[in-house]
This record gives sequence, structure tokens and C-alpha cells, in this order.
Amino acid sequence: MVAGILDYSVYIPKYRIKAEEIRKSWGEFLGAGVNEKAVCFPDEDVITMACEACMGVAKRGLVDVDEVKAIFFATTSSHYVEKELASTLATVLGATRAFTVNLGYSTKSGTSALISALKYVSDSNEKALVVAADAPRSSIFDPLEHEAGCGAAAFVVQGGAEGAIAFLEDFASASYEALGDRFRVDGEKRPRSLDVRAYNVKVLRQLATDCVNNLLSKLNRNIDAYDHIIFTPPIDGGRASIDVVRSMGGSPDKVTKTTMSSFVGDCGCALPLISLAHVLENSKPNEKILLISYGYGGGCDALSFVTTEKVLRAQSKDFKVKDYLESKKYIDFKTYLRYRGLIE
Amino acid sequence: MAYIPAPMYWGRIPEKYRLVGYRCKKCGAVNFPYRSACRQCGSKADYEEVKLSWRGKVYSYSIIASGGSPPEFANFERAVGPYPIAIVELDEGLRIMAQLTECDPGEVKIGMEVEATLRKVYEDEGIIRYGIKFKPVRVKQ
Amino acid sequence: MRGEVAIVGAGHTVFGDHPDKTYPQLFAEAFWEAVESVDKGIDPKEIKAAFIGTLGSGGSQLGNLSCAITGDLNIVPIPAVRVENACASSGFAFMLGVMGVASGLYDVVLVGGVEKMRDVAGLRGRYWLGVSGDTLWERLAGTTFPGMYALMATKHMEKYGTKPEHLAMVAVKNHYYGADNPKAHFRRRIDVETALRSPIVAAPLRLYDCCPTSDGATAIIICRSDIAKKYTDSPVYVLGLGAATDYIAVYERDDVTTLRATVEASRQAYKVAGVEPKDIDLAEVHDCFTIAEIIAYEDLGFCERGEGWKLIEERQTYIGGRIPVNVSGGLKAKGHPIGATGTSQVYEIFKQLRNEAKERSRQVPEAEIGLTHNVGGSGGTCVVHIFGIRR
Repeated sequence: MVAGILDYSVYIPKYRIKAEEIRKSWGEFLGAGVNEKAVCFPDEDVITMACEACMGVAKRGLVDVDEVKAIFFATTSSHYVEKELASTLATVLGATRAFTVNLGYSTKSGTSALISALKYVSDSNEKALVVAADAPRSSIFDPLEHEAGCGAAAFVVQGGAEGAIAFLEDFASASYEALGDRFRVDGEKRPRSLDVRAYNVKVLRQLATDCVNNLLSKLNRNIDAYDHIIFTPPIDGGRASIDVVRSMGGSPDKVTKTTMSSFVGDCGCALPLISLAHVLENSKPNEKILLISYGYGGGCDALSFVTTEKVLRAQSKDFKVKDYLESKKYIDFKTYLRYRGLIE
Repeated sequence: MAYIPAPMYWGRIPEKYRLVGYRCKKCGAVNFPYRSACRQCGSKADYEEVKLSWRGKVYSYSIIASGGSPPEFANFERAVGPYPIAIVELDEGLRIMAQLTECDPGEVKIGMEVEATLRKVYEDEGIIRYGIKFKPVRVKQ
Repeated sequence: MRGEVAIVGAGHTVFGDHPDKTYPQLFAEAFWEAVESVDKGIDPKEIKAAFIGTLGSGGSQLGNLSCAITGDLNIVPIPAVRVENACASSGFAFMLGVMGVASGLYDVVLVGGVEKMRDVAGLRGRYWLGVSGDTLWERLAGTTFPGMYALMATKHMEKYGTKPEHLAMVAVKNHYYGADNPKAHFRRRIDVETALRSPIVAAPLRLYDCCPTSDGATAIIICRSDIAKKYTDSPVYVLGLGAATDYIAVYERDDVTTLRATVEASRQAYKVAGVEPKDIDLAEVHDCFTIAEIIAYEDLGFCERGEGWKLIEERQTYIGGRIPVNVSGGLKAKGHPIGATGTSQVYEIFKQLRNEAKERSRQVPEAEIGLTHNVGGSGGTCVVHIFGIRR
């Protein structure tokens, strides 16, 4: 029951703001681990970013996106709390007979979407589309707002390893109640946190350690067998993740090299998938990737991928992750406030 | 104020979301947007849908400042300042009207290359109307 | 039909602010002035039909304005209808009235227009300015009329070398004459520098390139030419008329630097009247934006295609030049109550051809043939009339 990734694409909004600019203009930068981040233009939202990521896959030309039989769409910051979100994507792509699943509520929804899609196609050689798009926001007095970024990633997956640029070896999850590390209440636009740092870190460590150990024992493998380790979210500027990896005998710089949040900010449930795309674009064939994501409240997914020779072909295509990362325009703080709608 | 009721907007989604054109079965001309009679031969509408290219050039443009923008764009204009609108000539030679997004007023020139993108056009009664806008080409092939 | 219909009376409110009047009350002001302007007198009961142009801005009388007016004026039970073609509403109302008379059905007909735009402020007012174009594409691109005409201006400048200064010169001319017109909304002269410094509305159009929103009403009394002597010894005859539609949206047109509807409507009007552009002594053209006047010079045949800028630069459209245009002040200075503008232009020609423009500075000497050019929206509709003092 093998399944793998056929291609990927990301969308990072063009406009960026530097942490330094926020520090200079606001007086302090309340976030950690973010050097600069992406800012949506006022006419963008998670749906438009998701569409751009899907169109990116179409433009790369490796896969026929309108042939997908299912669309798994994940976000935690949709305008609507009730509405078929994936139908907009299905309409734009012309995939109107696809089975659609709208996932949310958790920053691990992106990896959960990926796992679900891989499982969905693994009995056949059908294709499925996975899209995660997120744009968390809060008040300017809240560290979350300072770290909040935005972006989207799209993957097409297929059963069998036939055309895969990377296939899923196995995955594991851990799920245990966590209260108050981060949550958003119905009717409110801003997530809240009890801000007890030691508690947030403890909960993360407990769940992630359990999850990753489970995966490693299933694969009978050590963590240092991995060439790349992606571990979102950027709790405590990413230090919490690094500590977990270190405590398991893993090498911290495998984590820091994949940390996208320092460039694009905290992109919620899209961050793990954006990071995965970035790693795939920069990996070699036959490398092992460990992708760990965390959903506040609390749950953890860990996925183990192996790249194939075909990853080189994907890397050669236009419309690269690098292109979206590097085509950017910096804005100042007052423009930031306007674009984010932070002034009522 | 719902001057375009949502059902009416929904009818135009192939054009608004997918940039679908309508090829006349009698004379082969591509119509965009939908017309009840072919623009070229005048025959009663009998079309096959074709996907148009998402690329084009600016044919003419203007920069809309606060005095010239419709009320449903007031919030957008307040956030981004004066914004460009343009007649875009698609690669197929068809001309369509659109807003140029992510584009400084000073950047716009006749002949500038632009690409289509799905964006929020406006929100009315809680419903977001998405639609095609154009922007300067960001990532080239 | 050349010369079969004559104008015997005309009325015109001051264009500007009439905040407390209802639509019928505002129209009544123009109506009574028209009645009182008939040299030998007329009893309102002699009017047999009415065609009133309006967009209905504000929505206070969107339906059945016709009988709201005939009732208010106590001229029921004559047939009456509201005519709507955006800014060309009363021009088309006039055309329908002429057709009503020429058909033999109605001897004497009341035509006119009315609009109240100034009592709906700010954003709500702008809503009404955006309903006469292509909503699904032009409006949803984020523009109202200034933007649509701006698209024409951008292309006209690229194609023919028209400059912002030329646009400003049009505004200067129209304010120059408007200052002397007691009916005008704006009575102040301006200079080119002021116009060029005014804020951008829709580049390249600035504040002074755009006509205002105004309240106002106009009324014209027309009749069969063979009974005109009963009312006046100096009627003004309708020599020609023409009308046309074009694609409603600017982007739908092959050439955005011309209004095909104007070209077609004026072609018909010249043909019916048996005259050429060079025979016209003065014209009231539809200068909703300064670029519209420049394009009108070309479309109406007053100059070669692409040389409209030359006409204004050489001051040929001032009195004393080749073809005085908009000596009323035009829409720019006189004002533009959408539904009332068409017959406002007719009022001006009526006065001018009878040598009755009281302000000497505005009277075109020895004017015998006049032309009115009324456009709806960004050129989707157009109606042109040609008038003369001889049948």
C-alpha cells in the first residue's frame, strides 16, 4: 500500500515585512525566530492563496491537476466557518467531480490532509490534491501577530510509487488533550493563548516525543538516519522543537535548515507543507525526510518520506519554491497596518 | 447594497473564476464575456466553452483615486490607496476589463505584461465575491 | 421630417442645489418657465403628451414619475412616459416627443428632464453614478464613469498626442462661458494651472476634468411646425435628428478613442437635415469629462480624427472661432443633472438661435443652425439634433 508525491507548489504573497521594521516602528518585536514574514495583499485570503498554489502545480506541467479524484483542503483562518471551501478550488481547477474534504481547526490539519490523501489513493493509482493555506492574525499587542505570516502549499499525490518524487514510508500520530496552549473561540478572529511558556513547551514535548518515537520504532530506525527534519510549529522561536529533537538524539541543525518561518512567518497549518516543498526542492534522491507537525490543543503528526530519482525532474521545473520566496517587495509598518486591517 | 444579486454573480462564475470564453459554433469567434448573440456573426448564442490564456498586455489603463471608486471598493481603496484598472488584451487578442492588483500606479504602462489571478473582488452581505484580476507577471517561465 | 416640428417655448431651472424639492416640484419650475416663455401664450391644457427624461437618482420616484408629474401639473389625463438612457435621457425624450408630433398623433408635446443628485451624499450618492455602465466587468474592476472615460483619455493621448493641457483648456473654456450663464452651477472662471493642479480622480482625469453632480430640470414645448405661428413668430425648427447605441462597455469597442454612437447618430442627423459639419454655427456637446468634448469634436466632424486637441489649442471652439462649442458652460460648468442635460442643451440652442442669450458675451452672433449632442454613460447611447431658424 504505497503512495507518493507527484509534484508540489507553494504560494507566498509578494509583500514582506522585516521584524526589524516592526521593532523600529512599533518599539518592540514581540515574536521570536522570525526575521521577516509574508503579508497578504488586501484582496488575498486563504482561498486565493490556495488557488495560486494549485495553479502553480498546473503551470509546472508535471501533473494534470484537473484529473484529481479528491481535494483535501486545510486552513484554520477561513472567512467562513460554514461553507464548502474546497468547492472554490474544484471550480477554478475544473475538477468538479472530485471528492472534497475541508479540514481545519488545528495547525496540524495540513499534515493530516496529506496523510488522509495518501491513504485515500493508496489502494489505487488515482490522484488526489492536498492544499493547505493559512493566514493567522491577532492584535498588534499579541506576539502571535508579530510572528503571523501567510502562505499556501499544494501537493498532488498518487497511489503506487510509479511517478513519485518521494513516497511515504509510514506515519504516526499522537493525540492527547491540551488546554489553553493556543485556541480560537467561535465568533472571534484572533487565537488566544494562556501564554504559560513552560506548559506550552511541556505539552509539545510530550506529544511530539511520543509520536516520533512511535514512528521510529515502527521503522526500526534512529532519528539521525534522517537527512532532513522538518518540525513546525515555531514555538518559542523554534527552540522548543530543537530541544525535542536534541533530546531524542537528533541533530539540531537538520531542523534549523528547514525552518521556513523565519522567512515567511507562522503560516499555521500550511507551514509544514510549505517546508516540505522547500525541502523536496533542495534534496537529493534517496534521502529521508522526517516531517513533524503540531496541532495546538493537542496533537502531533509525524511522516517519513524517501525521495526518489524523480525528485530531480521536479526540481528542474519552473515556478519553484525559490521563485516565490525570492520575488518579494518589502513594505513599511504603516502599510502593514493597512494591509492587515489592524486599524479599525 | 446587493446591486448584483449573488445568483446573478453565480451565473458568471465560469468567466469570473476560470476565464472561460465562448467559441461560436457557427463562425469560430471567441466571445468574452458571454453574449446572447455572437459579437462577430450575430448568431444566436450557441457556444462551446474554451479556457482562455491567463496572460496578456495592458491596452489602456487609469489610476482610480478615492473620488472615482464605487462604494463597495471604499475599504480596499483605503487600504491600498489609488489603484489601477485596465483593459487587458489577452494573448488571444480578446480584450477584457479588470483591476490591476499588486501594482504601483507608477508601474503601469501600455504594453505591460500581466497575468491573471483569482482575488477577492468585494464582499456583500457576508458573501465574498471572488473574481479574476490581473497583476504584473511575478514569476517568469 | 426635416422642419416638421418646431420649438415654441423652453424653461430651465438653475442647476445646482435644490435639496428640498421633490422630483415633480423641481420639474414644475422648468415647466412654468417654459409655459411663460411662449411669446403669444399657451394654455397647459393644449399639451397632448409628455416625455420626461430621468435616471431617477436617489430612488424617491423610480416608478411612474410620468404621472407623478402630469398629476402635479394638473395636465392629466395626457399620455406621458419616463424616458431613460442614462445621461442621454432627455435627449431621447426630446427625440420621442419629436416623433410623437411628426407622426401626427400629438399636435403639442411637452418634453424635458429632471434629476436630483445632491441630496444623497457621499458613498450612497456614488452608487447612483455607477449603475449606468457595464456592472459585471467595468464596475467590478473598481471604477465608475471617470475611470471609463480615463481609459479613453489614456489611449487618445498615446495615439494622437493629446496632452493634459488640452483637457484643461476645455475646462477653462467652459468655465469662461459658464461664469456668465445665470443658470449655471459654477459661475467662476478658472485657469489652466489650477486645473492641472487639481487632485486626480481617475488618471489622467483630474477634478477639473469632471463635470459635477447637480440638481436641475429643463422643459421644452414643441408642436407641429404648421401651427407654430399660433405660439410664436420665431419658432426654432428641428431640422435633423439621429440616434444610436454602441456596446455599453468601453472595453467591448474596437476603438476606444471614438464614440461610434456619436459618429452614427450625427451622420443620420446631418443626412436628415441636409447639412454638413461646416454648416453648424454652434454646438452643445456632451462634455461629461473634458476628454469627451475633444473626442466629440472629432466624432461630430468638426475636425479631422485625432486633431481635436488642435481645435481647442487654437481656440477654434470659442465664439469667433470656427465652431463655438458649449457657450452655455457645457456639462462642466453649467452642471449635469443626468436626466435634464439633453433638453438643457436644446434650451441653449433655442435661446441662441432666437438671439436671446441675454449675456452678450455668450451670444453667438448670427447663429442660424445649431447642434445638440447628448450621450448616455460612456457612449452606449447617443442622440444628436440639428436645429435651425428656417424650415
